[in-house]
Amino acid sequence: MLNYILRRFNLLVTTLLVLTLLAYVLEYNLLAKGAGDDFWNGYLAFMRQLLQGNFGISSATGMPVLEALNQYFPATLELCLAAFIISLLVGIPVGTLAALRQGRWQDTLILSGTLLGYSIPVFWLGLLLVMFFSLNLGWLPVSGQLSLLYDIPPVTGFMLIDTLLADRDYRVSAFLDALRHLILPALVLSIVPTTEMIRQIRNALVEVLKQNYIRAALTKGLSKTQVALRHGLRNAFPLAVPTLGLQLGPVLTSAMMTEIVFDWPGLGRWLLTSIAQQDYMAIRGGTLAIATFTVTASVLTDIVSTLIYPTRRKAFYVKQG
Amino acid sequence: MPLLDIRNLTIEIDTPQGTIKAIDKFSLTLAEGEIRGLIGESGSGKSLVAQTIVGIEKDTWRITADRMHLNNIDLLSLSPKERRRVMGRDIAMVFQEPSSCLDPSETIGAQLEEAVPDWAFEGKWWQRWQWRRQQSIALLHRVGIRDHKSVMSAYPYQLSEGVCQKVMIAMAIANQPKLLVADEPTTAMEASNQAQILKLLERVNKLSNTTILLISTDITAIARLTDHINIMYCGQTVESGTREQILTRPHHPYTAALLQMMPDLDGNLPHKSKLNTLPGVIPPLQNLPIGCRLGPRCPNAQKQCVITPPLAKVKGHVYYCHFPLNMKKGKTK
Amino acid sequence: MSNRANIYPEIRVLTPLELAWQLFKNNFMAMVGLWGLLILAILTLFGSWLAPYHPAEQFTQALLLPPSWSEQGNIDFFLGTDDLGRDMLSRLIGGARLTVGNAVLVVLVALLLGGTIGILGGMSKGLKSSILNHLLDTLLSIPSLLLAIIFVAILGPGLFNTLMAITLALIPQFVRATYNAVSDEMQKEYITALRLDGANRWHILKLGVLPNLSDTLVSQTTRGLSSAILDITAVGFLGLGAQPPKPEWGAMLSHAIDLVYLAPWTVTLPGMAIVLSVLVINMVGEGLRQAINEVMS
Repeated sequence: MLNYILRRFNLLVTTLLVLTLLAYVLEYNLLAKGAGDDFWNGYLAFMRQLLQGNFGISSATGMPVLEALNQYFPATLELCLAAFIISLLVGIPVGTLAALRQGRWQDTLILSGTLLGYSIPVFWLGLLLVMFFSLNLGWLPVSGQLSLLYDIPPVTGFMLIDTLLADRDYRVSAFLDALRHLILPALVLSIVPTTEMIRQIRNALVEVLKQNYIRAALTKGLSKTQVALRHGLRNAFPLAVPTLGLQLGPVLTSAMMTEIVFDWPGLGRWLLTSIAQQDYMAIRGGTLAIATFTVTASVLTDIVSTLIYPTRRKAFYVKQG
Repeated sequence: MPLLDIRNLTIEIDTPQGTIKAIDKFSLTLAEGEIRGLIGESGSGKSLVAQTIVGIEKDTWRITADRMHLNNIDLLSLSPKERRRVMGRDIAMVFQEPSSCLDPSETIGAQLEEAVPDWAFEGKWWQRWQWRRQQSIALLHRVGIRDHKSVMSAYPYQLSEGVCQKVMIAMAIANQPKLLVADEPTTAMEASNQAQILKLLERVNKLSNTTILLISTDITAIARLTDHINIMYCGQTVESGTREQILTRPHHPYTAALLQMMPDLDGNLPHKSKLNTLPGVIPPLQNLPIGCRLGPRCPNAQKQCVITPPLAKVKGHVYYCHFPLNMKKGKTK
Repeated sequence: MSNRANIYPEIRVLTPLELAWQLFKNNFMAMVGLWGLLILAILTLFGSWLAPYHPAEQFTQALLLPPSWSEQGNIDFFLGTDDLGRDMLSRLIGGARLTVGNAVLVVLVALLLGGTIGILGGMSKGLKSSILNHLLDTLLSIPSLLLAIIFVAILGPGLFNTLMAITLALIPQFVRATYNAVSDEMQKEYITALRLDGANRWHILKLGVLPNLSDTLVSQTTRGLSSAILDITAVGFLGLGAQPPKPEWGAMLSHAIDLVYLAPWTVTLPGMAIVLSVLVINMVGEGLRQAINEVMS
């Protein structure tokens, strides 16, 4: 077990090293800063700076990149977390339903729905929803994270939490306002992981329901649904849930697009402005942050799911023989 | 009164190649407390019959029968849900490849406790948890697992096939079923494990008078245990009778061939001689011969064999053949 | 027995390809997708002859005309016009080549390069494959669209650079998919059997591995195609891809954002075009995947 965790961490560290190398190559070639320097010496200096938390200074705003990351990252994370929560809440029941009704019209309908979900560009869906709910119906705010009426000091960076922590009279109304701002972007963003979740749960459960132990459980007199919920889901989860970790990358990019459409003050919007302004320090910092985050998250989901689910442990029992 | 009474069970399966009649007019009558052997080569439809009896048929199967009674309950008239409930109460099944029949993500203990039925419980509700645990341990002891502690906390992949099968049997008898269907319970097991499992089944039968339907490909392995034997070939019953009748005086050429196929290991077998087998192979289910399905392979087939042979019965010994073997002189029709 | 005359009906065993086609044909969704894809292909190839006007042609007397089914619509401009009086239908048809056509090119290149690297990597063992593995994990940890955007940021905006960037971003996915499939296949027993029979690497590749890759390649190609279209339009939407006069669908959308109130059809129509084309590709891909899975199992 320890061996396994060490191996995963080894992978994590190597990957991060390669990442910094890529980032440095980018800088070395683009800025020609280290033209006189030796490549490897420059890299070592760069690494030293990184480890000290020095990501450089944004050329557009003059702000240290790390500070900007601190400011923008929580907003993106909040959006992504909301999307993931929606995807779990919607994806698991719908995926289960599709698997239980495999081959019938409910299944076909749900699968067709997911195909559509795969095909919709996030930014367009965002525009449509804004057009409909905000402009036509006026139910939800068009853009931003919070109405300008409220002044909330950032503590955690998560607007929902900050509004509640803030020492203001309008705490609750600010919280509700933040929630109303979050609904549309989170919904739009959740399209990606929800679609994936439905399909993963459905396919995993269909696969599990074919297994012998399901048939054995059926002979004990339980109904199909009972067996599927009792024995099916607990075996389907370890197959399906870890893929959420892999979803983080696509979700983060979709978050960038969503942030543009909804003018959400997150990492993606900041990164795209930096790209438009050719602010290389900021681009490098942002990319490194996003990539580090994705790698770490996927390795962690891997380890955690292995720790939780005994079935996944089986694989390396066999390997170690 | 028979425990299980099946008449003319026919199972048709829809496949891309068309509908296949996988089981053709299968009949089975089980008396209470007997051990019945159901013998047939792989693909002969034994497992289909077993799965139909316990009610885990697939959606693509079309099942028809003239009669399917369990303890005077007409199974055919029940809705699938009710049927599964009845079957869950009175029938248990033991499968082949036992390790794949246990939920891999739960400990053996949890699964055993799930199998312990609530109706046998007496006492206060907070004692129930404790009681379930004790029952599970008792069950393990009954199937001959003494080391209950480590087995209860183990996951299925940590146990050997033999132990898994014992656990499966423990779960099957937890409900005190009237009928236990054992579908090739000893395939892919070492000889010592096989003997243990079979002995265990026999004990279950003797101790709690549980009827057992023992399904196997190997007539030698289970013949000792059984009271009656049914022989199947390609989805048809070819012969059924008491053990003595089948073993000593088989009427159907297929049974005779099966018995001859057993290599005689007493030393009478000449060195490097060919073993006795029927010519040809089992026909694919897509193009079964009409009439007696053994027809093309049968050593004494005649023109008449293209008509399905009728049921013939001599002293409880049932066979389907136009030209039965080993008949007493004068009794051949 | 129902048909007595036919004692031994002749059974022709279908080849896997025929069987797959049979299954695909019986799948209603997949066939709808196939017809849609056919229409899309025709529009992409012959769009310039089929479109009523030139995509850049401006009709100053017909600015912001709504689609023809609305009351102010004009049948001459079936899907209406944009703020410069350009015919939406012609622009959408012209955009098919820019968006879908380019996506196909991008995926073909990525398939060739990525597939080759993946196969070579999957056949090799030890250090080489380990390095490839780590490098891929790294590249895949950066989301493909972000990778593409960064490439564009370095290379400078423009359609060609976008295509380059998206190709580069797609290649790791293809490498990863083929690599995994090949190394999975290499561990199976029948490959060992082939090797024991004295087959050399080329034989193993040709007889053992390649036929079993079709599943992976088909699903990865369709997935790559849909993600290429989505990425091209996304980059276009960000204003980094095809530049304004070009009727690339994403760029059209980004141009139309300001018109949301005035002329909603300028926003909905290009989006619909994107959704429909990605949808038909996904439908065909799904059908193929199902058919191949069925045949393989």
